Amino acid sequence: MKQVLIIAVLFLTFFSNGQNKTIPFGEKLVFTASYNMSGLLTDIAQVTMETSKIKTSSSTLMRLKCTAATFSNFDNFFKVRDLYESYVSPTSLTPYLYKRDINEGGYYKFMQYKYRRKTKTVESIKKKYRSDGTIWEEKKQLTINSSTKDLVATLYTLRNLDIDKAGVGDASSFKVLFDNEETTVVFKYMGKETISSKIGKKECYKIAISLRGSDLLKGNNSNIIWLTADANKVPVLAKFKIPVGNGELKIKSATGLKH
Amino acid sequence: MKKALIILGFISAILAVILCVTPLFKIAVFPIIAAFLCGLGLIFLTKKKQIKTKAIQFIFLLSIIALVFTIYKSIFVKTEIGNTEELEQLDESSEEDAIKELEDLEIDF
Repeated sequence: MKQVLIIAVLFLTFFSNGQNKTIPFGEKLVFTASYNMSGLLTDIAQVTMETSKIKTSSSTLMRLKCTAATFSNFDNFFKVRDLYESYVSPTSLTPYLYKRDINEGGYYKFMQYKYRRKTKTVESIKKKYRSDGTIWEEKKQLTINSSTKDLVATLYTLRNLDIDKAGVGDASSFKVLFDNEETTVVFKYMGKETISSKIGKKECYKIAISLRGSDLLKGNNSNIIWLTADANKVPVLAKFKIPVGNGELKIKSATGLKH
Repeated sequence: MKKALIILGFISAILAVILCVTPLFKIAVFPIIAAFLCGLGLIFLTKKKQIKTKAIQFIFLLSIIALVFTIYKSIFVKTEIGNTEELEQLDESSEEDAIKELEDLEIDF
Protein backbone atom coordinates (compact mmCIF):
# COMPACT_ATOMS: atom_id res chain seq x y z
CA MET A 1 0.00 0.00 0.00
CA LYS A 2 2.97 2.25 0.63
CA GLN A 3 3.86 1.98 -3.04
CA VAL A 4 0.32 2.83 -4.05
CA LEU A 5 0.38 5.89 -1.88
CA ILE A 6 3.79 6.88 -3.20
CA ILE A 7 2.44 6.71 -6.70
CA ALA A 8 -0.61 8.54 -5.63
CA VAL A 9 1.70 11.00 -4.00
CA LEU A 10 3.66 11.47 -7.09
CA PHE A 11 0.49 12.52 -8.69
CA LEU A 12 1.10 16.15 -8.93
CA THR A 13 3.97 18.86 -8.76
CA PHE A 14 5.60 20.52 -11.66
CA PHE A 15 7.67 23.23 -13.06
CA SER A 16 6.60 26.07 -10.87
CA ASN A 17 5.21 26.10 -7.41
CA GLY A 18 3.26 29.14 -6.35
CA GLN A 19 -0.07 30.00 -4.78
CA ASN A 20 -2.74 27.37 -4.54
CA LYS A 21 -5.09 27.83 -7.47
CA THR A 22 -6.16 24.20 -7.90
CA ILE A 23 -7.07 22.62 -4.57
CA PRO A 24 -10.30 23.75 -2.85
CA PHE A 25 -11.72 22.79 0.54
CA GLY A 26 -14.19 19.90 0.28
CA GLU A 27 -12.69 18.14 -2.73
CA LYS A 28 -13.00 14.37 -2.82
CA LEU A 29 -11.30 12.03 -5.25
CA VAL A 30 -11.93 8.30 -5.13
CA PHE A 31 -9.66 5.76 -6.83
CA THR A 32 -9.62 2.03 -7.34
CA ALA A 33 -6.26 0.35 -6.86
CA SER A 34 -5.68 -2.76 -8.97
CA TYR A 35 -2.90 -5.29 -9.11
CA ASN A 36 -1.84 -6.57 -12.49
CA MET A 37 -1.17 -10.30 -12.57
CA SER A 38 0.00 -11.47 -15.98
CA GLY A 39 -2.29 -9.01 -17.71
CA LEU A 40 -5.31 -9.69 -15.48
CA LEU A 41 -6.27 -6.72 -13.34
CA THR A 42 -7.68 -7.48 -9.89
CA ASP A 43 -9.23 -4.65 -7.91
CA ILE A 44 -7.80 -4.76 -4.42
CA ALA A 45 -8.48 -1.49 -2.64
CA GLN A 46 -10.11 1.89 -2.66
CA VAL A 47 -7.98 5.00 -2.21
CA THR A 48 -9.66 8.27 -1.24
CA MET A 49 -8.16 11.74 -1.24
CA GLU A 50 -10.11 14.44 0.56
CA THR A 51 -9.56 18.03 1.60
CA SER A 52 -11.26 19.88 4.45
CA LYS A 53 -10.97 23.06 6.51
CA ILE A 54 -9.34 22.93 9.96
CA LYS A 55 -9.42 25.84 12.38
CA THR A 56 -7.02 26.39 15.24
CA SER A 57 -7.14 29.33 17.66
CA SER A 58 -4.79 31.35 15.45
CA SER A 59 -5.14 30.10 11.90
CA THR A 60 -7.12 28.18 9.29
CA LEU A 61 -5.43 25.22 7.67
CA MET A 62 -6.29 22.72 4.98
CA ARG A 63 -6.41 19.08 5.93
CA LEU A 64 -5.29 16.75 3.13
CA LYS A 65 -6.40 13.25 3.88
CA CYS A 66 -5.63 10.04 2.01
CA THR A 67 -7.16 6.76 3.06
CA ALA A 68 -6.70 3.29 1.65
CA ALA A 69 -8.95 0.36 2.45
CA THR A 70 -8.99 -3.07 0.85
CA PHE A 71 -12.22 -4.44 -0.61
CA SER A 72 -14.23 -6.83 1.60
CA ASN A 73 -13.17 -9.96 -0.31
CA PHE A 74 -9.52 -9.13 0.44
CA ASP A 75 -10.06 -8.29 4.12
CA ASN A 76 -9.63 -11.88 5.29
CA PHE A 77 -6.65 -12.25 3.02
CA PHE A 78 -4.69 -9.06 3.63
CA LYS A 79 -6.58 -6.27 5.37
CA VAL A 80 -5.35 -2.74 4.81
CA ARG A 81 -6.62 0.35 6.62
CA ASP A 82 -4.26 3.27 6.03
CA LEU A 83 -4.67 6.90 6.96
CA TYR A 84 -2.31 9.59 5.70
CA GLU A 85 -2.86 13.23 6.66
CA SER A 86 -1.11 16.49 6.05
CA TYR A 87 -2.13 19.82 7.54
CA VAL A 88 -1.07 22.54 5.14
CA SER A 89 -1.39 26.22 4.46
CA PRO A 90 -4.44 26.67 2.19
CA THR A 91 -2.60 29.30 0.16
CA SER A 92 0.87 27.80 -0.36
CA LEU A 93 0.25 24.11 0.54
CA THR A 94 3.24 24.24 2.92
CA PRO A 95 2.83 21.41 5.44
CA TYR A 96 2.94 22.00 9.21
CA LEU A 97 1.90 18.59 10.47
CA TYR A 98 1.96 15.16 8.88
CA LYS A 99 0.50 11.97 10.27
CA ARG A 100 0.62 8.47 8.90
CA ASP A 101 -1.26 5.66 10.57
CA ILE A 102 -1.03 2.38 8.70
CA ASN A 103 -2.44 -1.03 9.44
CA GLU A 104 -1.53 -3.52 6.73
CA GLY A 105 -2.14 -7.23 7.23
CA GLY A 106 -1.54 -6.90 10.98
CA TYR A 107 1.51 -4.65 10.60
CA TYR A 108 1.00 -1.34 12.39
CA LYS A 109 3.04 1.83 12.06
CA PHE A 110 2.50 5.43 13.07
CA MET A 111 4.59 8.39 11.91
CA GLN A 112 4.19 12.02 12.77
CA TYR A 113 6.18 15.02 11.54
CA LYS A 114 5.82 18.39 13.20
CA TYR A 115 7.43 21.00 11.01
CA ARG A 116 9.31 23.86 12.68
CA ARG A 117 9.57 26.03 9.59
CA LYS A 118 11.67 28.79 11.17
CA THR A 119 14.43 26.43 12.28
CA LYS A 120 14.04 24.09 9.25
CA THR A 121 13.61 21.11 11.51
CA VAL A 122 11.06 18.36 11.92
CA GLU A 123 10.09 16.64 15.15
CA SER A 124 9.45 13.06 14.18
CA ILE A 125 7.60 10.43 16.18
CA LYS A 126 7.57 6.82 15.04
CA LYS A 127 5.49 4.11 16.71
CA LYS A 128 5.28 0.39 16.04
CA TYR A 129 3.84 -2.62 17.79
CA ARG A 130 6.31 -5.03 19.35
CA SER A 131 5.64 -8.77 19.03
CA ASP A 132 4.37 -8.81 22.65
CA GLY A 133 1.76 -6.14 21.79
CA THR A 134 3.45 -3.22 23.54
CA ILE A 135 4.21 -0.05 21.64
CA TRP A 136 7.75 0.89 20.66
CA GLU A 137 8.28 4.63 20.20
CA GLU A 138 11.11 6.64 18.71
CA LYS A 139 11.44 10.43 18.72
CA LYS A 140 13.87 12.24 16.45
CA GLN A 141 14.78 15.76 15.45
CA LEU A 142 15.48 16.00 11.72
CA THR A 143 17.00 18.83 9.73
CA ILE A 144 15.30 19.38 6.40
CA ASN A 145 15.55 21.49 3.30
CA SER A 146 13.26 24.52 3.25
CA SER A 147 11.30 23.06 0.32
CA THR A 148 10.95 19.54 1.74
CA LYS A 149 7.40 18.28 2.04
CA ASP A 150 5.73 15.06 3.02
CA LEU A 151 4.20 12.55 0.67
CA VAL A 152 0.64 13.84 0.84
CA ALA A 153 1.52 17.52 0.54
CA THR A 154 3.80 16.73 -2.43
CA LEU A 155 0.93 14.96 -4.07
CA TYR A 156 -1.28 17.97 -3.88
CA THR A 157 1.52 20.40 -4.67
CA LEU A 158 2.08 18.50 -7.91
CA ARG A 159 -1.43 19.36 -9.00
CA ASN A 160 -0.75 23.00 -8.36
CA LEU A 161 2.12 23.25 -10.80
CA ASP A 162 1.98 24.94 -14.18
CA ILE A 163 2.42 21.87 -16.32
CA ASP A 164 1.01 23.69 -19.34
CA LYS A 165 4.18 25.78 -19.44
CA ALA A 166 6.45 22.70 -19.53
CA GLY A 167 7.89 21.23 -22.72
CA VAL A 168 8.06 17.54 -23.56
CA GLY A 169 11.09 16.00 -21.83
CA ASP A 170 11.31 18.66 -19.13
CA ALA A 171 12.07 17.23 -15.72
CA SER A 172 11.87 18.55 -12.23
CA SER A 173 12.87 17.15 -8.86
CA PHE A 174 11.34 17.52 -5.40
CA LYS A 175 12.41 16.60 -1.89
CA VAL A 176 10.03 14.31 -0.04
CA LEU A 177 10.37 13.26 3.59
CA PHE A 178 9.39 9.63 4.01
CA ASP A 179 10.32 7.26 6.85
CA ASN A 180 12.55 9.96 8.36
CA GLU A 181 14.60 10.22 5.16
CA GLU A 182 14.65 12.86 2.47
CA THR A 183 14.13 11.29 -0.96
CA THR A 184 14.32 13.04 -4.29
CA VAL A 185 11.39 12.47 -6.60
CA VAL A 186 11.88 13.29 -10.27
CA PHE A 187 8.98 14.11 -12.58
CA LYS A 188 9.36 14.13 -16.32
CA TYR A 189 6.72 15.56 -18.61
CA MET A 190 6.12 13.17 -21.52
CA GLY A 191 3.42 14.99 -23.46
CA LYS A 192 -0.34 14.76 -23.77
CA GLU A 193 -2.58 11.72 -24.18
CA THR A 194 -6.32 11.14 -24.20
CA ILE A 195 -7.50 8.80 -21.45
CA SER A 196 -10.94 7.24 -21.02
CA SER A 197 -11.95 7.11 -17.38
CA LYS A 198 -15.01 6.94 -15.14
CA ILE A 199 -15.15 10.75 -15.23
CA GLY A 200 -15.13 10.82 -19.02
CA LYS A 201 -12.68 10.96 -21.88
CA LYS A 202 -10.06 13.50 -20.94
CA GLU A 203 -6.99 14.98 -22.49
CA CYS A 204 -4.22 14.41 -19.95
CA TYR A 205 -0.67 15.35 -19.11
CA LYS A 206 1.51 12.24 -19.06
CA ILE A 207 4.19 12.38 -16.39
CA ALA A 208 6.89 9.82 -15.60
CA ILE A 209 7.98 9.45 -12.00
CA SER A 210 11.19 8.11 -10.57
CA LEU A 211 12.81 8.03 -7.17
CA ARG A 212 16.48 8.86 -6.86
CA GLY A 213 18.34 6.46 -4.57
CA SER A 214 15.40 4.19 -3.83
CA ASP A 215 14.28 0.77 -5.08
CA LEU A 216 10.64 1.37 -4.29
CA LEU A 217 9.70 2.20 -7.87
CA LYS A 218 11.22 0.00 -10.56
CA GLY A 219 12.04 0.59 -14.19
CA ASN A 220 12.76 3.59 -16.36
CA ASN A 221 9.66 5.54 -17.38
CA SER A 222 7.55 2.62 -16.09
CA ASN A 223 5.81 4.65 -13.42
CA ILE A 224 3.47 7.09 -15.07
CA ILE A 225 0.58 9.26 -14.01
CA TRP A 226 -1.95 11.05 -16.13
CA LEU A 227 -3.42 14.38 -14.94
CA THR A 228 -6.30 16.04 -16.73
CA ALA A 229 -5.00 18.86 -18.90
CA ASP A 230 -7.36 21.41 -17.39
CA ALA A 231 -7.34 23.77 -14.41
CA ASN A 232 -8.25 20.97 -11.95
CA LYS A 233 -5.39 18.63 -12.97
CA VAL A 234 -7.23 15.64 -11.59
CA PRO A 235 -5.16 12.46 -11.51
CA VAL A 236 -7.17 9.97 -13.58
CA LEU A 237 -4.76 7.11 -13.99
CA ALA A 238 -1.43 5.94 -12.60
CA LYS A 239 0.58 2.91 -13.62
CA PHE A 240 3.44 1.75 -11.49
CA LYS A 241 6.02 -0.97 -11.38
CA ILE A 242 7.06 -2.12 -7.93
CA PRO A 243 9.30 -4.97 -6.71
CA VAL A 244 6.30 -7.34 -6.49
CA GLY A 245 4.66 -6.57 -9.84
CA ASN A 246 2.59 -3.92 -11.60
CA GLY A 247 -0.31 -1.91 -10.36
CA GLU A 248 -2.80 0.70 -11.45
CA LEU A 249 -4.77 3.47 -9.81
CA LYS A 250 -7.91 4.50 -11.68
CA ILE A 251 -10.24 7.32 -10.82
CA LYS A 252 -13.73 6.31 -9.74
CA SER A 253 -15.25 9.69 -8.90
CA ALA A 254 -14.24 13.32 -8.44
CA THR A 255 -16.41 15.78 -6.50
CA GLY A 256 -16.00 19.29 -5.12
CA LEU A 257 -13.52 20.35 -7.80
CA LYS A 258 -12.56 24.00 -7.94
CA HIS A 259 -13.07 24.62 -11.65
CA MET B 1 4.32 -38.51 -22.21
CA LYS B 2 1.02 -39.89 -21.00
CA LYS B 3 2.11 -39.84 -17.34
CA ALA B 4 3.55 -36.34 -17.67
CA LEU B 5 0.29 -35.03 -19.12
CA ILE B 6 -1.77 -36.68 -16.39
CA ILE B 7 0.44 -35.26 -13.61
CA LEU B 8 0.57 -31.79 -15.17
CA GLY B 9 -3.17 -31.87 -15.83
CA PHE B 10 -3.95 -32.82 -12.25
CA ILE B 11 -1.61 -30.21 -10.76
CA SER B 12 -3.10 -27.48 -12.98
CA ALA B 13 -6.68 -28.52 -12.25
CA ILE B 14 -6.14 -28.62 -8.47
CA LEU B 15 -4.30 -25.30 -8.56
CA ALA B 16 -7.18 -23.81 -10.55
CA VAL B 17 -9.71 -25.01 -7.97
CA ILE B 18 -7.64 -23.56 -5.11
CA LEU B 19 -7.12 -20.22 -6.85
CA CYS B 20 -10.75 -19.84 -7.91
CA VAL B 21 -11.95 -19.71 -4.29
CA THR B 22 -9.42 -17.01 -3.26
CA PRO B 23 -9.77 -13.27 -3.94
CA LEU B 24 -7.17 -13.78 -6.68
CA PHE B 25 -9.64 -15.89 -8.64
CA LYS B 26 -8.90 -14.21 -11.97
CA ILE B 27 -5.45 -15.77 -12.05
CA ALA B 28 -7.13 -19.22 -12.01
CA VAL B 29 -7.68 -18.75 -15.76
CA PHE B 30 -4.08 -19.80 -16.45
CA PRO B 31 -4.14 -23.22 -14.70
CA ILE B 32 -7.63 -23.82 -16.16
CA ILE B 33 -6.23 -23.35 -19.67
CA ALA B 34 -3.24 -25.57 -18.83
CA ALA B 35 -5.51 -28.31 -17.43
CA PHE B 36 -7.77 -28.18 -20.49
CA LEU B 37 -4.79 -28.44 -22.83
CA CYS B 38 -3.47 -31.44 -20.89
CA GLY B 39 -6.94 -33.02 -21.03
CA LEU B 40 -7.14 -32.46 -24.78
CA GLY B 41 -3.64 -33.90 -25.19
CA LEU B 42 -4.70 -37.00 -23.28
CA ILE B 43 -7.83 -37.39 -25.44
CA PHE B 44 -5.58 -37.21 -28.50
CA LEU B 45 -3.36 -39.94 -27.00
CA THR B 46 -6.34 -42.20 -26.23
CA LYS B 47 -7.08 -42.33 -29.93
CA LYS B 48 -3.60 -43.73 -30.57
CA LYS B 49 -3.25 -46.02 -27.55
CA GLN B 50 -5.59 -47.51 -25.03
CA ILE B 51 -5.59 -45.27 -21.92
CA LYS B 52 -8.01 -45.32 -19.01
CA THR B 53 -10.20 -42.27 -19.35
CA LYS B 54 -10.90 -41.82 -15.61
CA ALA B 55 -7.98 -39.42 -15.16
CA ILE B 56 -9.07 -37.35 -18.16
CA GLN B 57 -12.60 -37.10 -16.85
CA PHE B 58 -11.33 -36.01 -13.46
CA ILE B 59 -9.07 -33.31 -14.94
CA PHE B 60 -11.95 -31.95 -17.01
CA LEU B 61 -14.34 -32.08 -14.05
CA LEU B 62 -11.99 -30.05 -11.80
CA SER B 63 -11.26 -27.57 -14.61
CA ILE B 64 -14.96 -27.05 -15.28
CA ILE B 65 -15.69 -26.52 -11.56
CA ALA B 66 -12.87 -23.93 -11.42
CA LEU B 67 -14.09 -22.27 -14.61
CA VAL B 68 -17.68 -22.04 -13.38
CA PHE B 69 -16.52 -20.53 -10.06
CA THR B 70 -14.28 -18.02 -11.83
CA ILE B 71 -17.01 -16.93 -14.24
CA TYR B 72 -19.58 -16.73 -11.44
CA LYS B 73 -17.28 -14.60 -9.27
CA SER B 74 -16.30 -12.36 -12.19
CA ILE B 75 -19.96 -11.58 -12.86
CA PHE B 76 -21.59 -11.56 -9.42
CA VAL B 77 -18.93 -10.66 -6.85
CA LYS B 78 -19.04 -6.92 -6.34
CA THR B 79 -15.99 -5.04 -5.19
CA GLU B 80 -17.08 -3.05 -2.20
CA ILE B 81 -15.24 -1.65 0.77
CA GLY B 82 -15.28 -3.73 3.95
CA ASN B 83 -15.98 -2.42 7.43
CA THR B 84 -14.30 0.98 7.79
CA GLU B 85 -15.78 1.93 11.17
CA GLU B 86 -12.39 1.68 12.89
CA LEU B 87 -10.80 3.81 10.20
CA GLU B 88 -13.53 6.45 10.58
CA GLN B 89 -13.02 6.54 14.35
CA LEU B 90 -9.28 6.81 13.85
CA ASP B 91 -9.89 9.62 11.35
CA GLU B 92 -11.93 11.61 13.89
CA SER B 93 -9.58 11.08 16.83
CA SER B 94 -6.56 11.83 14.64
CA GLU B 95 -8.09 15.15 13.57
CA GLU B 96 -8.76 16.14 17.19
CA ASP B 97 -5.19 15.24 18.19
CA ALA B 98 -3.85 17.12 15.20
CA ILE B 99 -5.64 20.33 16.23
CA LYS B 100 -3.97 20.09 19.66
CA GLU B 101 -0.57 19.54 18.03
CA LEU B 102 -1.13 22.47 15.66
CA GLU B 103 -1.93 24.82 18.56
CA ASP B 104 1.62 24.18 19.72
CA LEU B 105 3.16 25.20 16.40
CA GLU B 106 4.10 28.61 15.07
CA ILE B 107 2.11 29.00 11.88
CA ASP B 108 2.59 32.04 9.67
CA PHE B 109 1.61 31.93 6.02
